Amino acid sequence: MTIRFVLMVNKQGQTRLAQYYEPLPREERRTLEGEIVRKCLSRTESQCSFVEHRNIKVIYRRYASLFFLVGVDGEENELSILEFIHSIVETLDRYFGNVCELDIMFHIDKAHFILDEMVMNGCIVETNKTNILAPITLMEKANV
Amino acid sequence: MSSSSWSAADRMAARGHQAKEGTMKIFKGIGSGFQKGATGATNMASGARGMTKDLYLFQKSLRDMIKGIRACRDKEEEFINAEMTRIHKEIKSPDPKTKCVALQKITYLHMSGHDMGWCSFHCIEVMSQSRFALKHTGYLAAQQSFLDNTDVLLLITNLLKKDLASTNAHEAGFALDCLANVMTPDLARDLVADIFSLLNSTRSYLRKKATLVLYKAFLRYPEALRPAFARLTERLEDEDASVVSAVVTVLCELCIHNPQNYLPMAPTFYKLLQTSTNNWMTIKLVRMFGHLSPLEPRLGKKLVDPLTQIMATTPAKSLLFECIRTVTKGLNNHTSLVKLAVEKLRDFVEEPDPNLKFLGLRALQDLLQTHPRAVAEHKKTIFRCLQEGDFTIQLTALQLIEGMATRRNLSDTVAHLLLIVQGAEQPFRDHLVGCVLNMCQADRYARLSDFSWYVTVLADLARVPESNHGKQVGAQLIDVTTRVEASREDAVAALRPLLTDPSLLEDKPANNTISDALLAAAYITGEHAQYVHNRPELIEALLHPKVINLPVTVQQVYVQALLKVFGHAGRKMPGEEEEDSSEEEMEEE
Repeated sequence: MTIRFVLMVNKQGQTRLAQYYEPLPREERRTLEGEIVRKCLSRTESQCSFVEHRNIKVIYRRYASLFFLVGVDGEENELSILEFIHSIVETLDRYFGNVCELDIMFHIDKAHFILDEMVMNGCIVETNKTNILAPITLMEKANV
Repeated sequence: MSSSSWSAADRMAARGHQAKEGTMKIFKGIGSGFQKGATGATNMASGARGMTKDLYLFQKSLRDMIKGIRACRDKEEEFINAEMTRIHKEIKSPDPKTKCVALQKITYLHMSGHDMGWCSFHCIEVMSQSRFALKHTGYLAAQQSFLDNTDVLLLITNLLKKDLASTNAHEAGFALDCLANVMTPDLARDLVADIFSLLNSTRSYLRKKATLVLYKAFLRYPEALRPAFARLTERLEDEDASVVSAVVTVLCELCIHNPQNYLPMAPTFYKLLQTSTNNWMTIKLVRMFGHLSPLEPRLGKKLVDPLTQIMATTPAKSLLFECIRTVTKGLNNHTSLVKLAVEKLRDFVEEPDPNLKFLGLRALQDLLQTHPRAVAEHKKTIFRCLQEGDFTIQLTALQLIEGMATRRNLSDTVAHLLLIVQGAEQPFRDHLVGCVLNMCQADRYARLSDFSWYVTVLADLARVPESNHGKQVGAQLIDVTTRVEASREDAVAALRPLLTDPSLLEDKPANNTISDALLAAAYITGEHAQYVHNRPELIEALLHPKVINLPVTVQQVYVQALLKVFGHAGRKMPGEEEEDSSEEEMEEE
């Protein structure tokens, strides 16, 4: 009942952000990403956002040029994960201001930081944007 | 990337130490800068601008590297290899900032699939920096690349201990984040006490994180659970809502694995359910109750009210769905709840949004075992879903229909499905055919009452182009005609078009597995050749030149059937003149 991974992949299949919450060797990650992305890319708008790959359920949504994919265990509530993806995007948007793929590419450590505030150990921790962004804004002000 | 402001003193000190080496490297840097052309220009500019970037005056920052990768479209591999060699050198530099930037770059490359395992020791070096930004880079790199078998994990225990106890909440936060990802059983055993003490920290930020990391520690080191449990449950009274939410999450996970132990806590959860304002937490609580209520019938009764209220009032579809799911899985003996759930599910399935449709169908599938009649009320909607654009939705609807099949509705269902088969596309068409076959064959054909009708259905199914089910169709044909005497005549009549159609003998993909069905058809016709009306036509068909395209086993059966049909030539057809017809046939042969 936990999140296994969070991926942000662009239309060409290049991974922009990858966070895995279970140990997975590098080669397996690549194959996994490749297969899942191919499945998601081949779907149209009118199809549902849930894909099953082996025994992982992948819930995805496309925002502009970036696909946000979240892989979960069998029991997770898919609708709440969709809402969660949306809250990730909103938080990133609030932080970067009109976030786009390049923002995530060039500020990947900040994107990771924000994601880590929201999901820990595969469980959703915080969805309130102010709370999530508080530490990172503090960090920037202090700017050690 | 992370803008660092080195003081002039630092810079001087660094330069002083390795001036000679520095000069050599500057020249190397310029050399490579010129080579790279456009990216070189960026490099030199940023090198000049960021004089704060130390020794490798022209060390590429992460930003430059990314720009470089984007710029050289075809020669990406070479570029990245060159970068990797450079990073190998940079990371061994004694200067922490250089190391840090190199680590950032290699973390980025790791994400694209390159190996990072060799620099785990350098990760630790960066992690032990006191500067916050550097530390973060180190921790991030560790999080991404450390696996259970990384040998340097032993070294980080003390480092983590120190950071966990740090007064700076963010440092401790990092340590917790990192720990969440790399926790090994050894680390769990050593550090659980420190995490535990953080549960009482004054910063709710840390309490929240510590709770979740504690769960990971429990997973890796189960003995830690018992002593920590009391303090964990104390946190349910915490004044910060996110901490409570975190505790509920952890308890929910534990409860799913072992519901019996958490039954005594049900009253606390009940109180939380009624006072909760956070949807995420409510979802977790509802789910927990779904697991607890099968164990305690009285709990179910108490839950009817709050759940009904939630389902009726909440605007959040996810919460509604969670309640419905809990009802279908754990509380399905409470009729009022089930009725409400089925109503809401009908709304889901009728929504235009494919996600909701799919989830609605899945939930109905769960309900099928216990309340088939309730589900059967929505048959029309489900049938409509068979023609949706989305394959997953179609498949789920089909599975539902298969589960709903009974003696009474079988012929209607099959007729309906056959209609759809005409218009359907692969691979859904195969699933449809398979579904019909399974439905009818279930329980040794218990649902069928009219076998003559069924053999016509089978004959139709055999003709479905590109089907993968030829063998199954053939097997069922033989099965039915062997057992049910009354169906034999109709079978022979129904299968005649199959045998006499020369297009089915061609070797094309549309005739995928039809040879197996033809085998059955020939066999049946041969066995019961007394029912063949037009023997000459059939014999012509069996002797058709294209029969050679069929597999050898099928041709064998064709030959045998031929002999059997011919052997019946002298026999009387029921209600036919004998002498003339048999003489005609002898002449033709």
